[in-house]
Amino acid sequence: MSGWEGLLHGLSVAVTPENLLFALIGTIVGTLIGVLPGIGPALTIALLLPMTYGLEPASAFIMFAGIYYGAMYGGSTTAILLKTPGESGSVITAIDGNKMARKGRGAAALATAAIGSFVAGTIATLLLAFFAPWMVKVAIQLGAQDYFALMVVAFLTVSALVGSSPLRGLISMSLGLTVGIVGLDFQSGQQRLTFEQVSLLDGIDTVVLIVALFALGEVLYVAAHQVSSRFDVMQVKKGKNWMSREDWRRAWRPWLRGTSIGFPLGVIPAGGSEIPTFLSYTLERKLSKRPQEFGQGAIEGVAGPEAANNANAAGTLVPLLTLGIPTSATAAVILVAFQQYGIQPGPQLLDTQSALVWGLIASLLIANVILLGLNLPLIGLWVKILKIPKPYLFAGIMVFALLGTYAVNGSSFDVGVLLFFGVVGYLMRRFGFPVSPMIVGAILGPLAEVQLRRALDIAGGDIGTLVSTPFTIVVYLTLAVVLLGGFLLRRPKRHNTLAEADRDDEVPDVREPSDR
Amino acid sequence: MSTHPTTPEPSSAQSHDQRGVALGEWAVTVGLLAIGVVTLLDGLGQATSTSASGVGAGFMPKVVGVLLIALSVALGVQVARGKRGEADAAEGDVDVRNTRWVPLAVCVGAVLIFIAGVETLGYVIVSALAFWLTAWALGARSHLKSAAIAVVLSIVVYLVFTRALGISLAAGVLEGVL
Repeated sequence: MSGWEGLLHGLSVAVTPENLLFALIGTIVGTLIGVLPGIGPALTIALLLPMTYGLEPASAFIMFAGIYYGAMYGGSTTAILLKTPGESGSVITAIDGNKMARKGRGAAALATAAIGSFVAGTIATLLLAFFAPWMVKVAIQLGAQDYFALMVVAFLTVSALVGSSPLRGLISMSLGLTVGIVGLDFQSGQQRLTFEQVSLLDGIDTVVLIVALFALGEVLYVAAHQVSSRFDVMQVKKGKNWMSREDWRRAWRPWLRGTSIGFPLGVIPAGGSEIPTFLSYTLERKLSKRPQEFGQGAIEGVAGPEAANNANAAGTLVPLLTLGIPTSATAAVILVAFQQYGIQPGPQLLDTQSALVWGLIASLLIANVILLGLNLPLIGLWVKILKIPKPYLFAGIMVFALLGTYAVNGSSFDVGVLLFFGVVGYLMRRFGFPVSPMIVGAILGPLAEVQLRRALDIAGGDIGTLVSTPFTIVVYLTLAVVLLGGFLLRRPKRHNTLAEADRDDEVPDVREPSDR
Repeated sequence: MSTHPTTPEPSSAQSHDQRGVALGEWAVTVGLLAIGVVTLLDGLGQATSTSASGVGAGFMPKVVGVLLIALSVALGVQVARGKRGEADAAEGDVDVRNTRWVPLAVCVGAVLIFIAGVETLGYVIVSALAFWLTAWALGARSHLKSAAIAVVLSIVVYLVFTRALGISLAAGVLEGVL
């Protein structure tokens, strides 16, 4: 099935009154949860997974499409109005977006982000539709060793390029691999790292792991280290023009350039959305006639990275849907969502579950349109949500973390696992270990082990089989280049972009005193 | 907690803090080393594989165990040279130089109460307790308002999940009431 046929097929699945309603609910709930500070897209999907347990798979994935893009959009709102990005992809948006909000141009910043997300999301989703069938043709010719090579790439790029320290990223990934080992061996049924616990035989539930690391870890981190129990929310002035003609003129090129950076870097596993957003920001500053405005509220600094972030998110769906390889925490959560329905993404997915996959892709387009229609007029409502007092917000996150964990299997043992990994998540935040590599390691680790042992079994134990095909050699060489390139790219300016933006902050801090 | 300085002077907190962080970094390093050793031992303890390649259940734990041991040694070297991890700044508004142990313990306690009581007391009661305790730990001072929100939220969640979504949550002592 070509891209066009697939899209039309998908639209026929998605455009029914019932499924449109699911898409609408998904975008609203996704934005609602995503707009909450500290909750990124991965956690939003993990927390909302229980909601879909009672649904048909097709409807559930249509809802996921809405949740995914809604959460992406919500993240940029908190980045702009609160300077609390909640996920690495919005960190760059927070620099100039928050400056614009401080100068009373919050509405323009939000509109730039919304329209940029729409433009990038639409183009990237169309590219996804045309790229996926082509990718499948390549994928079906790959052997176990080729898959293993791709997974090694995903492991190393995600862990070495995310966060501030490659070593800490690798440690985080190795912890994830360790978690992935727990349970019965898939081949021999031998118990591994189960410590005689019957409840651990099935391994550690990935939904529980995600909720623990992201949600509970976050609650504990904020409880232990918050400076103030209030948020410092920027106001959006009523009645202001969203974007002036000048703004449009300055923003449209960055939108398109951001898209063209974000999508390819999502397709090849290049370590999440941190690098594309950073690249887009650097590029816009270089191309701008007013580079001095960057860091002081330049609209290009919001438009480019926001587009790159959204295009990147759509790009990561290509390896996920066609190869079954998640290259970001969010993609890993979507993989888990597939697994909950007994579906393993891979080259056969587009054939065996074509209604589901194309429905999902078509729903991404629909969700984009809904979001644009929803967000420009309703921004005042989302801002009100940010006014929920911080203690209630985090208490709410706690309740939903407990609920999400308990509802998976109705077992209080899982809640104990939640607590254990929640403490791990707290320690990781506290000591600067990025969380995403651990999630990717835990979910991708077992899949990689299957491919590795399959490849070795076929070759009778000859380890040389891992580099025996041209594909594997190309992949490993590319990996070396990407790692080296990523390392060089982040060299000049990798220290705490947000803190740096703070330092040259000439606007006095008007934060209200704490009410404690 | 109310007497706690929320924004400590960097200079006075610095010396005390760096010792604390170094200790914490060492504890994390040792913990990682321990996990690596346990994983490696688990791999070594697996029965020999009868598969075609001779690579079996023990292979992955051995590889990951050795990897973790090597990485934790590398981390130890970094810590010894005084290189610290950068605490997560993406959340904003946090100061890691100061750990508020009481709120942290209250949040952990909320989860423990949930685990201990969910089957007997039922979902609604432990969930409401968890909300109230967390809100208190995060600085909510209007206890009655917190309690009201906690109870309403938990009941709504319970009804939506059990009635509308068909997912069962423990009723506990409120069996028959809700």
